[in-house]
Amino acid sequence: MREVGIWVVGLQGLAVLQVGAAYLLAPRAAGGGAWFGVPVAPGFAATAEGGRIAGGYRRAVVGWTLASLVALAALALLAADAWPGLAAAGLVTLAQVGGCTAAWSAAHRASLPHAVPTPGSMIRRASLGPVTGALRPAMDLVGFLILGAAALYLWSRWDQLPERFPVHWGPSGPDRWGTRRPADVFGPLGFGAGMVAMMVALRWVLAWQLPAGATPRAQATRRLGLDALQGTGWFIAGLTAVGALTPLAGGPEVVIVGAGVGMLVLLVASVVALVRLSALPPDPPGPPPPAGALRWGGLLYANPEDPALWVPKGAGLGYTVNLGHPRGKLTLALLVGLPIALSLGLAWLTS
Amino acid sequence: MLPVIEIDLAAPTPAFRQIADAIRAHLVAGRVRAGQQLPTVRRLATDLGVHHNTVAEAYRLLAGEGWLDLGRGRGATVLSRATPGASPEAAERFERRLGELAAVARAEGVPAESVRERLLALARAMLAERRRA
Repeated sequence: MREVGIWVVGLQGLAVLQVGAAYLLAPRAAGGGAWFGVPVAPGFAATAEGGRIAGGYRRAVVGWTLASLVALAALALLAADAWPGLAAAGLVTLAQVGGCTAAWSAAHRASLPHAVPTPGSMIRRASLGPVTGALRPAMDLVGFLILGAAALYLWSRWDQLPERFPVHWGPSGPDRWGTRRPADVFGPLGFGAGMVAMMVALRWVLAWQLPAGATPRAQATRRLGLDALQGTGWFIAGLTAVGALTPLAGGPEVVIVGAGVGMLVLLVASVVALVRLSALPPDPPGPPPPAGALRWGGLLYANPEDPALWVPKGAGLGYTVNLGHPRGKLTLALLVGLPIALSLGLAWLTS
Repeated sequence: MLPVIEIDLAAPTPAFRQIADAIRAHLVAGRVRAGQQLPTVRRLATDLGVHHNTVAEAYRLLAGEGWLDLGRGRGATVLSRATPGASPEAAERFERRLGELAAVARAEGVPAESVRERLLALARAMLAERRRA
C-alpha cells in the first residue's frame, strides 16, 4: 500500500499548490487602494518601496510553497507507508498556510508607514441595482443528483456487489470491512448527502447575510465565494460517490485519482477566477477602520459602535465579521466551528 | 454604472436621512427611473450595515414625498412623479437646511468660493434637467 500513501501525499502537494496560488494572487485580486490591508496612494505598487514589499511577500510565499513541496516529496519517499508520515503531510500544508499568513502580516506592517489618510471611518456603499450572482437553486441539486446517480447504479448492480468488501484502508491495506447490506452500501452516500446539504445551507445563509457589494469587483468577490462553496459541495459529492462505488470499481486508487482530478479542477477554476477578478476595475480606497477596532494584528475587527455585522475586509477582498456586534462572536464561532465539526465527523466516520 | 449610495455611519446626520437623501439624489437625476424596484429593506440594510428600521424609515420618508410605492411583499417601486411647485413650507425647510449646511461649511473652513461654485453647478444641473423634462 506504499503507492497509496504516495498518492495521498501527492494530493497534499496539489493542495499546497492551490494555497500558494491563492496567496500569490490575493494582493492583485484585492485591488483598489488596499495594499496588504493598508490604504495607500495610487501608484504605490510601482514605487521602489512598494516593489520591495511586494517582492519580499512573493519570495516568502514561493519559498514556503517550494519548501512544503520538498518536505512532501521527502515524506513520499521516506514515510508514505506509515500513518505518522501521512499525518505529517497534513502538518506541512498547515505550516505553509501559517508561513504565508505571517508573510502577509509582515507586508501589512511594512506598508503601515505609507498609509494615506482617507475620509470618514465608517463609510458604507450599496448598489440600488439588482443583486448579481443570485442563487441558482437548480445548481444546488447537482451534488444530490451525483449521489442519487451513484445510489441508483449500486442498486441496479446489487447482485454484482461482493458479499464482503473493504470500506477503509490503512497504510498496510484494508483494515475495515462491510457486507452487502443497505447500511454499508448506501451509508457513505447518506453521509455525503448530509455534507452536501450543510454546504448548500452554508451557501444560502451567507448569500442571505453577506452584503451584495456596490461595485463590480465587490459583487464578483461575493459571487466567487458563493461559487467556491458550490464547487466544494460538488467535489464532496463526487468524491463520496466514487468512494461508494469502490466495491464495484476497484480499490482506494480510484478514490485517490478521483480526488486528484477534483482538486486539479478546483485549482484551475480558482486561479482563473482570481485572475479574472484582478482584471476588474479597482474599487475606490476604503476608509481605514477606527482606532482600536482591529485585533490580532489586523486579522479581526471588533467595533461596538459599528452597527454592521459584516464589514469590508481590510485586505479589500470580501467581508469579515464585526466581533463588536451582538451576533458577531456567534457568527464567527459558527463559521470556524462548522468546517471543524465536518472534518471531525469525517475523521470519526472513517476511523 | 450602477446607481450606488454612500453613507457615513460616523457622521452626525442620522443614517435614515442620509439614505433618503442619497436615493432622492438618484431619483431627481433620473438615474433610477419610474417602475424600477429598489432593493428590499432587508437587502439594503444588510448592504449598508444598518438596522432594518433605519432603511424602512428612509423608504417611508420617500414614500411620503411621493417617490415610492411601498407595497406589502413587493418591496419599494419607484413612482412616476411630477415635481410639484414648492410649497411655502418646503421652501422654508430648504432655507433652514441650507443655513445649517452653510454653518457646517464655515465651521469646517470650506472656502466660500468652493461653496459658490458647487451651488452654481447644482443650479445649472437642475435647470438643464428641467429643460430636458
